[in-house]
Amino acid sequence: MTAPLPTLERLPRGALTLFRIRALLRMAIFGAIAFAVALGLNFAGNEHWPFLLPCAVVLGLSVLTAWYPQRAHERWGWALREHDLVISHGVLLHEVVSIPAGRIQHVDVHQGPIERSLGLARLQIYTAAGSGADGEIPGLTRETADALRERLVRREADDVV
Amino acid sequence: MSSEPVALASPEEVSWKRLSPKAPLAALVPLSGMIGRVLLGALLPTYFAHERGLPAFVWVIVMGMALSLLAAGLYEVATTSYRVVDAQLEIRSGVFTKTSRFIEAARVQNTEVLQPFVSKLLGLVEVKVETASGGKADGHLRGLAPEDAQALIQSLQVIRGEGPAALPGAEVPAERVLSEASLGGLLLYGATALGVGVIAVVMGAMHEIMETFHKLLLPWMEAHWEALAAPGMVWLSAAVAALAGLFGLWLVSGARAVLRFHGFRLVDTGTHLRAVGGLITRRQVTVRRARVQQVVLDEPLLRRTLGFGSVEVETAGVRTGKEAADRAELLVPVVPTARMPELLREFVPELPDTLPFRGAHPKALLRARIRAVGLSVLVAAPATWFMGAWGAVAWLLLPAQLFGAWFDWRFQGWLVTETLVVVRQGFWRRRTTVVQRSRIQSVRARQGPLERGYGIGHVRIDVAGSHVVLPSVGWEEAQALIDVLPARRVSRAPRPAARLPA
Repeated sequence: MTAPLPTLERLPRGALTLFRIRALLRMAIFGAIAFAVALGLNFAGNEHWPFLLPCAVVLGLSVLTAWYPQRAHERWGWALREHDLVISHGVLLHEVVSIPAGRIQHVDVHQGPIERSLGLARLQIYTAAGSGADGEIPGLTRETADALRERLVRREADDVV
Repeated sequence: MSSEPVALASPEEVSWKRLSPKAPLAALVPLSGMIGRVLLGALLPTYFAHERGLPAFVWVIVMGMALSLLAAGLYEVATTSYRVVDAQLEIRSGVFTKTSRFIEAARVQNTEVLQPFVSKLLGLVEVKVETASGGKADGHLRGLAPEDAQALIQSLQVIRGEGPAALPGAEVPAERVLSEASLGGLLLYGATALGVGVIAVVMGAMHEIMETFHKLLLPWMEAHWEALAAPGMVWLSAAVAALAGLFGLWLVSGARAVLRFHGFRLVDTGTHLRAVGGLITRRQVTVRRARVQQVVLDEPLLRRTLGFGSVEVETAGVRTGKEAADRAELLVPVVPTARMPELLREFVPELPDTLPFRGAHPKALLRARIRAVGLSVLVAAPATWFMGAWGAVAWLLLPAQLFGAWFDWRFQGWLVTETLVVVRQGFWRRRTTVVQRSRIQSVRARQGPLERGYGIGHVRIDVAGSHVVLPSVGWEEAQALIDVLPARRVSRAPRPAARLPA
């Protein structure tokens, strides 16, 4: 019964830059929120300790920013096989998804401003299973994303759910 | 069953059908209810705040918005027309801004005919047509004559080459009654289906009753203070209150079951399953056999002891609801245990006679125990810190949780046959889920940090509109299962790309 996973295609080097930029942005946003909370607590009469909160948040997120993107980049992988698309990802919660080719309803290619500047794109794969995307591959080069999308939507499809 | 296409009329030949002139009147109550629910966030604080509620000008804005929404809803109902043309149901509404919706007959998952109380008085029904596209019905026609509703459903079936009138001269199969529910059975079903909603209703009602009767009872309590302050009276009154609460729960739950399923009857028409039931709102659900995605056998311990269970049938139509029973497209409330295999085989003919389940991975028990200990400590430690000796009682949760974890682990099981995946979970609330492998949309193997330590993982199977999680298995096996589980269906080649006119 045991069938080993196929050899997975890894994300390009640019995806690591994307993950790092995202982690930095996350750190900035959560740091700002923590600072606003600290400011509020300070105005409420607490003198100095509230400012330890944003310091702790930024320190914690700095450690995460240094460690997490690299690990996440190593864990992301995908493989397009004859009968399905396999996506593997996750640092804390490791997940391997198989989406049978015949069940794919539509495929989206997204490019946010950071992704556009790095020449990357995010592929989202939808089946009839739910309201959100069933599979997502971030940090693909635009060419790979377009080629993959083309190969996925051109495959034979089951007619109805 | 034949899938021969029937001769279709051209769009010009098919006239539009209007809803009944009384349709806006029938829609008034449900639309008001819907708008009321939306505005509940504004109304509830006002009710509880009494005189410190919203200021008058905010009320004017809220009421203005409610009336505008109601007028828009009624306008839409009054201007709705429909027709079945080109193998599609076309629904049109609006005069100034016209909206047309096209629902392909082949994509219809199930249809529902509802007759709420006001509609019953007016001799009308509502029709809901569901596809796999979203959380609510794609086609909702309020205020049809019953014969028009049946004609619409039949014409959708005829287009798909199904139903009694699919082929002229073809033999119409006799309808078979698969299940019926008696009043006693429904009361038992209600008594064993205590959801969070029912508990909230009963708690609210008890609060209101205590508020109301407090002033009346106070003089009597003062007169009998000696007797009431006797030792043991606290426990007695607590027991009486608990019994009254339980009785209230049973009463509300039983009433809900009777309201929803009174006169329940499930009929097999050959190509479809048709369920009819309901006391005030009469509901008829028609599910295509070919569209059944998942069947769930719900057997809580109490129901098993009383010798029955319930069966939920799910199609790809996505319904919202807190309870699984609310989300199921078709629910058979009372199925005697002896009849269960026979009825299940009606929905899933490939179901084997015996189900030799494989148990959960032995290390899953360790994980369950760690989770039980963590949860107990999380509750009991703060309770002891803040409430002292009384809070320490919460530590009793620990053996109870450990006991529950063992039971849940011991009675899990899964089975993969050539065409099906069968998953059994829970001891206190046993649920057996049957999924057709050809209906699987995606499979994912997951491994959390705790599972990684034990080398186990779990597998989630998604079908359209629902999902099921297998008990824990070894991580290697979980990864292998994502390859093994989805069965290939007979599929057709993609259509060639359409050429645009020059």
